[in-house]
Amino acid sequence: MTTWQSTFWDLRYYLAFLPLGLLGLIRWTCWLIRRIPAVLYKPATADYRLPLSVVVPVYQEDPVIFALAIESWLANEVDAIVLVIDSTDLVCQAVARRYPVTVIITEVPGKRDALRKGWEACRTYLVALVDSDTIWADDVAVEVCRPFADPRVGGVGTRQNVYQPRGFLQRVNDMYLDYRYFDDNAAQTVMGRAVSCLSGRTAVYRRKLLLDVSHDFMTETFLGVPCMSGDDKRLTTLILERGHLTYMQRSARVWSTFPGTVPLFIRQRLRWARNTWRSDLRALSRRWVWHHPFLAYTMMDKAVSSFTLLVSPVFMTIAIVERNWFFVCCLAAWWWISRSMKILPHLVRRPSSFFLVPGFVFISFMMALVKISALLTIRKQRWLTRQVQVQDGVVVRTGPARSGTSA
Amino acid sequence: MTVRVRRSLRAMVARLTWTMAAMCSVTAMAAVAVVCVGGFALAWPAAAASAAAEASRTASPSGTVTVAQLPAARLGPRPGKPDGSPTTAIQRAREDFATAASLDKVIWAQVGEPDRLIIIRATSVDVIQNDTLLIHLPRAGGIVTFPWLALKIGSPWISMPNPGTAVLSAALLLSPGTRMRVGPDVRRLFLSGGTARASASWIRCEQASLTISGVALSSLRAGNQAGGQPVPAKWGGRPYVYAAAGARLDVTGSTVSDLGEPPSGQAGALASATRSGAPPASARVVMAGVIWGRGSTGSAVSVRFERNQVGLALVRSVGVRLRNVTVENSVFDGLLLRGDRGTRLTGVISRSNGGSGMIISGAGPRHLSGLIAAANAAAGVSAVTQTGLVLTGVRTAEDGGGGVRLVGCMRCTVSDLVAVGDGETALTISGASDDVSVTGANLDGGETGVTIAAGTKAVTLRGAVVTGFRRLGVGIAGTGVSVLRSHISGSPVAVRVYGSAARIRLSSVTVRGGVDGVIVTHTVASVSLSDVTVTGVAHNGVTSASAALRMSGGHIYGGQVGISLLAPADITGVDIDRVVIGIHDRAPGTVDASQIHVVAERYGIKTDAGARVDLSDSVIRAPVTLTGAGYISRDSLTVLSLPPIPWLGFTAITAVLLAITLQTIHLLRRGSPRAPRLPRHARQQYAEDFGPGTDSHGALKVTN
Repeated sequence: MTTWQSTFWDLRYYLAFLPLGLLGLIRWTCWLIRRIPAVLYKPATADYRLPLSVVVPVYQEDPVIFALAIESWLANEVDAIVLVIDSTDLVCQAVARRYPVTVIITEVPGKRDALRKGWEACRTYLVALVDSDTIWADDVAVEVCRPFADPRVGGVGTRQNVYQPRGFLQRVNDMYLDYRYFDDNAAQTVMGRAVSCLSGRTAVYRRKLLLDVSHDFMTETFLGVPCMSGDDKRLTTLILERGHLTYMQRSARVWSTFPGTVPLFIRQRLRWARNTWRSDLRALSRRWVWHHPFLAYTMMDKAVSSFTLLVSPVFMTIAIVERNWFFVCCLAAWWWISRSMKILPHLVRRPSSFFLVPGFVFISFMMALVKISALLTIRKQRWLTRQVQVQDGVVVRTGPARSGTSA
Repeated sequence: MTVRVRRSLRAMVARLTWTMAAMCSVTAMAAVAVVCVGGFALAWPAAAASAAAEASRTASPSGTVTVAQLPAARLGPRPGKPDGSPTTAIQRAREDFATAASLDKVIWAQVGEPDRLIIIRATSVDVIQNDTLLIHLPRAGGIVTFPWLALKIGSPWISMPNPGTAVLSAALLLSPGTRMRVGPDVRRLFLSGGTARASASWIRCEQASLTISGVALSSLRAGNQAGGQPVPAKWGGRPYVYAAAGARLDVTGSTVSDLGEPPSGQAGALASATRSGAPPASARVVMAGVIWGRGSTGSAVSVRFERNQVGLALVRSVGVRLRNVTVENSVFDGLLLRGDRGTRLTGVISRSNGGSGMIISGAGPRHLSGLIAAANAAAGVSAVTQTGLVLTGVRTAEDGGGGVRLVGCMRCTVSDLVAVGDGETALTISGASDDVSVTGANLDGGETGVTIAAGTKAVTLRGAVVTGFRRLGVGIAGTGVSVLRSHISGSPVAVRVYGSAARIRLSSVTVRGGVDGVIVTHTVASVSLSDVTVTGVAHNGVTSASAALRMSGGHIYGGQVGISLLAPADITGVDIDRVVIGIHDRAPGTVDASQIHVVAERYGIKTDAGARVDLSDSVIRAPVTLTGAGYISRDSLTVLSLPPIPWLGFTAITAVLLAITLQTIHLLRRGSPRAPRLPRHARQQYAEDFGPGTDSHGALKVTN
């Protein structure tokens, strides 16, 4: 045997050091089941336009970002912009007065009521439910209308990214968003046009459907507790329940702000995780979801992954305790490489994120714990990042009012 | 009448009055004296007659002295002589007293010449100070109690300063046939002692019965009040309790503390010279707080022995029962068994003693079970020159000198031993022991698990679980040693066979973890390994320098080298997997390997210069199957091939490549569309607000 041959055969044994176990193999398979159809995704290209209004519930928004967002919506030449501003938020009211928008002052705290008021005040065929810190690209209004060429489509979501991410957590959020829009949502769109959640930052619905689901939307409860957050998940589910389709239009890009501090980050994730558990558990117990088998599969996979994700850190911990440094290095390297492969779409856009992957992996393990914690506290209804909560079945403010003269 | 005359008259009257008063006083005193003398003279004969009658009524011929050298003696009135006049009764009483005095003097000398001695006999109580009989007190027989003694003898010999508290400041000897009970009328009994041996208060019973029930028995420094400081351990006059020569001692529900003489003279010098500071066994006997001596019997039930010199000792006793006994904080050993017979132990705990927890010596056979030894400075249980000893259910923990030590034991059995965290060696078999069987031992933590020392023969270790020892799991230097169906894990070296070991057999032994599995040195003659499994070692599974290694069956999984040989060996039917080098033959001589199965990461069989391996009917799978400067022969049935592919690793690489491929496909399908950008006004605003060098982290307020 020549030297290069023996070296080759020796190299084969380095494969043995790749710490992929059976569970890892299963998790990779589940990911490939999503990734392969996601690769086949293409945004809708039909030349189709409908009148579009923008409904924005506003509560203690940063005035600078708020103004930027209003201007971006105005730049899209939508038919109407309806801002439902909380009565205590005088600053944002002052900002809104500078623009040709419709302002509705609401005394009722809570996002759901504001959304309902907004879409009831609109008159256009399509309504875009937008967060007050979401900045649109110039062509969002055009792009989001295209999927509605299919009359079965009831709602359309957009692709989001973090507005000029600074700091580690915002970069991680950006990575999560790209992962979502290039894997989950893309695969769900390809495999049945049943996206599990049209994110509330910008989601466009047929107004008629919103009016149909108003009551169910406002009176949602889970295990006897009225729901406050998770409005976007709830609307998406209600649309799908009624036999309509949901579509992710990735060519419509929006930017929004995300938390940069650990407490806010965790609270936001905890809230989202509770919303997801409630929505997915309820959906999996209903018959309609099984008409969208791929959607059902992604829901179950998401639920299971919360637990399976923690197996690998256990092995790492045992290896560290036993001072098996070779295995520690192999596993750490595998985490880095495998996670990088899974977020390749983001790395293509931002190659520097490759060096943040170890932190991203660590955050993923933390998020698995957050998800399990959310499951255990699934009945809690608190916004966590807003000063509102449900008390005795009613949404109430928990913080002081904000006042000011101008933005 | 003039004033002078009146003064003179007054003085005269006063003188007269004084004179008459003095005369009356003298007269009265004289009368009283006359009455007393007269009365005594009249009463004396009656009293003498009464005393003589009393003596004749209570006298018993049963009093004997058990000291073998002394002649039998009789006390009480002699028959045949008429008891009549007071003079005769007095004479007889005097003779009795003298007889008792001479007898007591001999006994006093025999028992160590204590300062004070109380001898209790069936019909009398003698109180001796130094060699002089002070009191010869007849009694009616029956059980003797401390309150009665305190009443009859009193302080300073025996006192009861408080109800339920008694202080004995004298040596107390119970003669044959006597019975004494301590408690429940006495709850605290203090035996006083001082620096000199003669000042010690002790209790001995010879063919007598002593019952101690519900009593806190302790020593007391002479001169201290009851409850004061005990006698220090180094003082020569430390009290003790001794049952000997057919006595019966029963202790129930009591605490015995601060008793037992220190080692003296040569024994004391030896004590300080030994490593553990322990005196020789011969001295240990008298040092015990409570001793059941030759021929004695009795029991200790629910008793705690604390801070005694040696907790308790059974020396040639018969049928002593120890149940729920705790011995702790002794200066030296906890429990000493020597030559006892029929001893029954249940729930005996010996802990935190300055010597061994328990020492078993003297003739056997004996069966002991349910011993717990913990935190003793020396060994937990030490058995010396025992024959037929059966130890069952012994538990040792954190004993500084090791768990169980068998020294010079023949035909002994240890079963169900649990030793945790003992210093040095958990189980040591040494000193020419022969035919020792250890079954079901569970040993965890310490320096060495099992040491079978040189000179031992025919030792069998069966079903042992040896875990987590810092230096060595099992060390074998004896001959005819078998280790069967045992599990050894977590030690740097699991099994080491060394020294003059010979005819060693390891069968169905499992080794897990550590650095090396089995090491056999070159001095060992005849080692057989059958069905030995070694997994997860960091270095070598089996390393042998012995020219007489025979290895059959078994499995070696993981490590650098499966089998490393420095001498010829015979290997049959062994599976070696996940090693870097399967077999490495490093020394001249022929290794016969048949029916072996090797899967190695680098080399299957490697031979150094001068070495030779003869392969037959084997399967070798490695990137390089046969290599080295030595010689390897193989028959036609031997298969050489490449190792199996690690499919999971291959799958991982495939998954990574697939992810890259899919991303590439996505990019190709997408083409190069114009990427949507932030609106111009948003980009401009951001630049104005934050600038190129400004950190905006935290400047944006997030609401959802």
